[in-house]
Amino acid sequence: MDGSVNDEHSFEDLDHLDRNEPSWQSALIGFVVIFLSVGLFFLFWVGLFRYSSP
Amino acid sequence: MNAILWPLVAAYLVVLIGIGVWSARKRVATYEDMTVAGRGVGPFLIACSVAATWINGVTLITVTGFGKSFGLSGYWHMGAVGIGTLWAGIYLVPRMWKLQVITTPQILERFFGPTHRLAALVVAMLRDFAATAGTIGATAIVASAALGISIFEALVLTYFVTVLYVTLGGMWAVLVTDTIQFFIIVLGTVLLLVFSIQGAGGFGGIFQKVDDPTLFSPTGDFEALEIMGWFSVAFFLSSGYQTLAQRAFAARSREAARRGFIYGGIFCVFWYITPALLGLTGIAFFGKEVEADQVFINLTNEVAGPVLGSIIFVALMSANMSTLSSTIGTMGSNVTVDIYQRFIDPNAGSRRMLWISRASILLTAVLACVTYYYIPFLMELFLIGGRIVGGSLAPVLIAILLFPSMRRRGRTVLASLTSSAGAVILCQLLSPRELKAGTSFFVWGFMDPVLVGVLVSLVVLVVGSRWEGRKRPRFPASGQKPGPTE
Repeated sequence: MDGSVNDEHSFEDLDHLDRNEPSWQSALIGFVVIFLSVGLFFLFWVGLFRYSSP
Repeated sequence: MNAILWPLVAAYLVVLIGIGVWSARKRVATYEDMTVAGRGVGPFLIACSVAATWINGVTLITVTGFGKSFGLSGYWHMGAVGIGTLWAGIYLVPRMWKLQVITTPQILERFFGPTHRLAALVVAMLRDFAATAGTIGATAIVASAALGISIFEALVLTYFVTVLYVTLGGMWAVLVTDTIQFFIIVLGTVLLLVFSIQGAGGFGGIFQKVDDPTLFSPTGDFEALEIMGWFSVAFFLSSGYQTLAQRAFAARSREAARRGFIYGGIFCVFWYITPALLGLTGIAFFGKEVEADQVFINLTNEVAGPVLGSIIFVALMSANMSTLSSTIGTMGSNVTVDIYQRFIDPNAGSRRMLWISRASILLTAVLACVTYYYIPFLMELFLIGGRIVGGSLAPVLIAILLFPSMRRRGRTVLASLTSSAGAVILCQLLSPRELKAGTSFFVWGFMDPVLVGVLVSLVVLVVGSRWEGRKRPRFPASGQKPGPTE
């Protein structure tokens, strides 16, 4: 074993990892969506704080 | 010091030890029970534990300080960690859970080999060691100030109890105590916030007294790029954090792991507004001259009476002890699974492994304590380890979990791990002296070493996988092993 190639496990064993899991494209879209929602929530919250003040 | 503080602290510590004893008697029979709670944990315990692991005394006091210095924009420092945890819960955690491993370095061996595992092990353990030693210090200082005892006595009191319940009850004790600590932290901080806002004359009062609109802006004085910089650092740090990943490995199902992380992440996203707001309230009370790190303690002294003050002190202790118990437990698992079982005695029986895991927890706990107490200058080395996790291990983990083709690119992954780790170290050494100190992940006016590491990783992973892909034909997922190199 040269430390770079997996000799013991066939890759088939590991391909179940992705079964029914979202792809990297959806992970990227998911990240943008989560980031923007938190950003919007934060903006809303900050706005509430500023404008509720006299 | 007040009359109810000592009884409250004593009761709290007794409950923790009780949970340790209960877990040891009822829940722990094998080393898997010790390290991953027998893979039988539901989403509720995972969510509370994930949140309690993130919220420690250091982040609590630091983010309150950020709220004072930078206003509401100080939120992004740890809010990003909530987003990272939430995102990891949806996209990384289910895949990680399916691997049925105990530690993060094991993932690397599953795909590649022992060299990759060792590289990941060194980096992951450096970070947990830094977190442990740093939190030991924070806990001892807080306990010593509040209880009026020496640092050494405080260390014995808090650290001894933490190590005791982790050694006895392993991951079960960690998860159950984390959940109790989670509720104490929320109760203490939210009550403090409510009383502080009331004391400052409500939101309107704070707005008038602070009188600086930039502090109320979501980005403050910073440019969007800077905020994105902080954000990325915290995001990658949270994706590569093995103490957190171990909670996913302890879940009873893929769904339990996923939901636990999502709930824990969402909680952090919301809750981290509390310290940022406490910081702002601090300005209303003490003016802008007050030292950032003192705001949390000063506010407690100012607005909390003896009862609330005692609860907040226990909350602060809880915040530190839940982080400590997690990191000690994870390092114990690393020594047990990644070193002892892998390289020393792969055929050790179940009973022997159980005792080895207890001994490993004890050993790493003592080492971390000795490091904090006698050789604190080593801390810098360990802090570099923390940055390498963010800049080198996290991008690689994300790549192999999300991109199946990367799982056949062993050389590229190793090259990425080492070159980005090198870049992080180089950057850290070249950075101005004053930027190295402190617990903050973020460095203003200078690119954070974590970001440099992430960029190097990205380039090496993209270029290397193309090159390696050309050299070695890609095989379909048919169980066929890669043939000899052309």
